[in-house]
Amino acid sequence: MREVRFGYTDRKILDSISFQAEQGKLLCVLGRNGVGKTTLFQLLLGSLKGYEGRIEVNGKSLEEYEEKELAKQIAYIPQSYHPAYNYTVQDMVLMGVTPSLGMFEMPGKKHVQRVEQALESVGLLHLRHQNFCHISSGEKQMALIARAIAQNTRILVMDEPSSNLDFGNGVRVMKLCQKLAHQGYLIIQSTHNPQHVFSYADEVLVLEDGKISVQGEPAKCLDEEILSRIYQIPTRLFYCSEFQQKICVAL
Amino acid sequence: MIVLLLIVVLAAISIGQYAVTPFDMIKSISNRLFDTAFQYDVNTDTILYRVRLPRILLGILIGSGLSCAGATYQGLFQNPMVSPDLLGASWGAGFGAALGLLFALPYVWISVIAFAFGLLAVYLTYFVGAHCKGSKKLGFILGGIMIGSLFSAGVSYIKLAADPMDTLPAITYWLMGSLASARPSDVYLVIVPMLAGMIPIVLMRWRINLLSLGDAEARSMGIQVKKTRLIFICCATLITSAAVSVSGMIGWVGLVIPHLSRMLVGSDNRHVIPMSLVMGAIYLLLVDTVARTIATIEIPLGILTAVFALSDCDIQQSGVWTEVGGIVVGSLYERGSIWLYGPKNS
Repeated sequence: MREVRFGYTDRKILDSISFQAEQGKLLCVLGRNGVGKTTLFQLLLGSLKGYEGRIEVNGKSLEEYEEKELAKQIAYIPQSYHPAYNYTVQDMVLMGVTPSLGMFEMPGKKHVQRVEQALESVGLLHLRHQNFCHISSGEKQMALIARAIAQNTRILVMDEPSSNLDFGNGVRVMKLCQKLAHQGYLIIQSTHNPQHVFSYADEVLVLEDGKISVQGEPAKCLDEEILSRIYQIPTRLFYCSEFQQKICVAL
Repeated sequence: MIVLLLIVVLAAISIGQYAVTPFDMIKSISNRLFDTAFQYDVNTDTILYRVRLPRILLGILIGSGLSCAGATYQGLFQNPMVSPDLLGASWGAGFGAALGLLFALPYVWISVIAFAFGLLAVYLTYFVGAHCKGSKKLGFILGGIMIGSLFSAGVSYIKLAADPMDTLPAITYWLMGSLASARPSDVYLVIVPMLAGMIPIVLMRWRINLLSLGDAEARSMGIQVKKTRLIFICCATLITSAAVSVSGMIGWVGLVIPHLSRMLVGSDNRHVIPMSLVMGAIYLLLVDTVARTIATIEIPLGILTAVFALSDCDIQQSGVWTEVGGIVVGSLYERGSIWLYGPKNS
């Protein structure tokens, strides 16, 4: 992103946003509620038009991509949710193969195989015939990640993937994201948990007042003052030698 | 299911005020197709080709069309309570037909005007929805309710102005839906718009799955959301307007059959749409056969489909309370099932 500005008629949301993200990294976006994280993601996904500046994906301007071509580059993973219909886990993941289908084409055997591989990679193959609505929130999030893997893109955009999850599932999802990043995926996700940033992220990007205030390696660029300022609560950081990482505590 | 449809078709041909035996039917068809010279009842040909077959073909087209349109709308608007008249097509067509009946136009012209007004109603709904601020989907739904109400008010006014001795009963009967006046020309009139609507839906049905997840997800998986949704809306509208223009307003088929199909084949629209097509045809044929045989005068289909729909829901969900004639049929969808509540004191 280069010098990207975006706002609605009544207010400015993002002002002069510039950053670059590379493959093989887990990039976390931190910021208060309403600061523009979701807007930033919508811009990246091509859902919002009328921005100033330039957004490039793999060296090509976002505006030059058609929906289908962009869907071969970036996959979107929403928060786990309850769809209107009772799709099976396999049905949900199978939808990820759509960018490789023609207008009147239906998924075939090779696509189902791709889905099985994606489900296996996140450890959910045994749940493929289960009703998506009946599995746990953590499993739903994993299934949505599997769908992104089946989509065959190398960039995954995740909107607060751990926000509806319990402690254990949150950690499992973050570990899976870290594993995928190490396999070469670029993962851009928003989070409200600074500890996840210290534990799993390769890079952090802090949004404040529509601008990027901090960007870099979490352990080096995030400190107590910044976290206290973002969330407006006293925050302390401790170094845990056992885990060799900073531990964030809010007072 | 196809076999069941064939059995129902054969039964529908045979059963009626004038019974046609299966042997006579086979002989008649054989004479037509293979130039054989079998002897059979002299009235069979007239009954078969001028009365029953057009009616059965129309029943198949309308039943499968309305179910297909209902399943499409339900997927597009992520709402299992949606039916094919969501965007005002039924009331638009109803207004057109009432207008035609008021001016005592020829039967074919009534159908043509009904079809045109059905399309006009959906165009107006689309216009309102497109100019709505905020969610376009909600705009379409609210626009559909508004335009539907507008045309419903128009129908009420026409009924007020209509001659109570002949035109008013004709309008009322037409609005309740019936295939009683089906004739071969009706089949020719609706088959083109029906197929023009159904074929693209069948071919593109996989995309309904994606649209049912919401715009953001559908777009992220490469769907041109606005364009694809517009194609589906146009196709479902063509089907609904064509159906209502020749048969009147037959409710429930487009709402209930997609749910029954989902119970049998799951929620994947690759299977739901074909199953809805076949089940819709079977359902309407059965209802129509009952409508023309159960009493000496024909019962309008709209009445029977409502009664049958309640029993379907009863089958779908144990513990359902139904009260025919109850004031409220409040419907709540939860996890693939419809629950129908009667009044609280039922």
